[in-house]
Amino acid sequence: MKIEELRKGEYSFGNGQGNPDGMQLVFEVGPQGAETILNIKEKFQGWPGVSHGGIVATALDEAMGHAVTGATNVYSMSVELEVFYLAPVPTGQDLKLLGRVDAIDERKVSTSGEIRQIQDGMLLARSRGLYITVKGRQEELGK
Amino acid sequence: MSVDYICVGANAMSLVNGPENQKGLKLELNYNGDGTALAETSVPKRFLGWPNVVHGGILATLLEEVMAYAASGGKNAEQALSLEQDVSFFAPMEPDARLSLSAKVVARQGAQVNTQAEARRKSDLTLVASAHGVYWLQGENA
Repeated sequence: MKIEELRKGEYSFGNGQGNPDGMQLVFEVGPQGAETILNIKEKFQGWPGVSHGGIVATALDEAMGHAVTGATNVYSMSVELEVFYLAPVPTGQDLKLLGRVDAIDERKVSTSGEIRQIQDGMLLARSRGLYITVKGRQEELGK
Repeated sequence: MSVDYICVGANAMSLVNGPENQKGLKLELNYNGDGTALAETSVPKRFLGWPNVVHGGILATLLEEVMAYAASGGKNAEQALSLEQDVSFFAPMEPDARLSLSAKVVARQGAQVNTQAEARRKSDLTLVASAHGVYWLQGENA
């Protein structure tokens, strides 16, 4: 399923289709993980032509969070996020962004993520994450 | 293209502190001279994750920038290349409220610098997130 079908119009910076200033990521989500084509806009640069490290972290956080939703059918919140920067992540290029679930321990979900070049599969960044699942409607989470 | 030219361009359009990036965070960084970098900001609503909660990735972005600035000795954060970042999230942070950021260098070996940082809600000093970062200095900072 495309999880954005459930969340269309949200204001989330990462995947909200109603946030024109956000990343507007749209993931293919399933029990094994989440993936999308990532193309980071120039306005999210750290250096010219290079994505800001924090935006790379944001993309990986989104991919891993969506993977958690795909595996558990509930939403989650980030508890820990670890990112390894292996090579510059370019702006304005199509890249492959993946998130997967590695282990589930009751409400704790361990994940990993990666960003690769499409042409040659070169690994640009990888991540590990820990998420806590949250039952209930997402609109209630911020209250 | 010289390193200096790259840095000027990065400063102008950087997401976090670029003055010409109209949709950026416009973070103003300060350096104490003792290896500590400080900053304060309010995150606009366009950077939310869940409703009324600042996106964890944006907190990571802010922590990343202040750690890079500390790693560079307050000279030029763009010359501190990110190698690793590890963020722990402790409490949700609401948008449009003051957020205090601080970072310091905890170890340096050659051009590699290890840092730690934290983000606190200014009104009650609640710890929102903490981070460790590893950076590689280049240019005049190496």
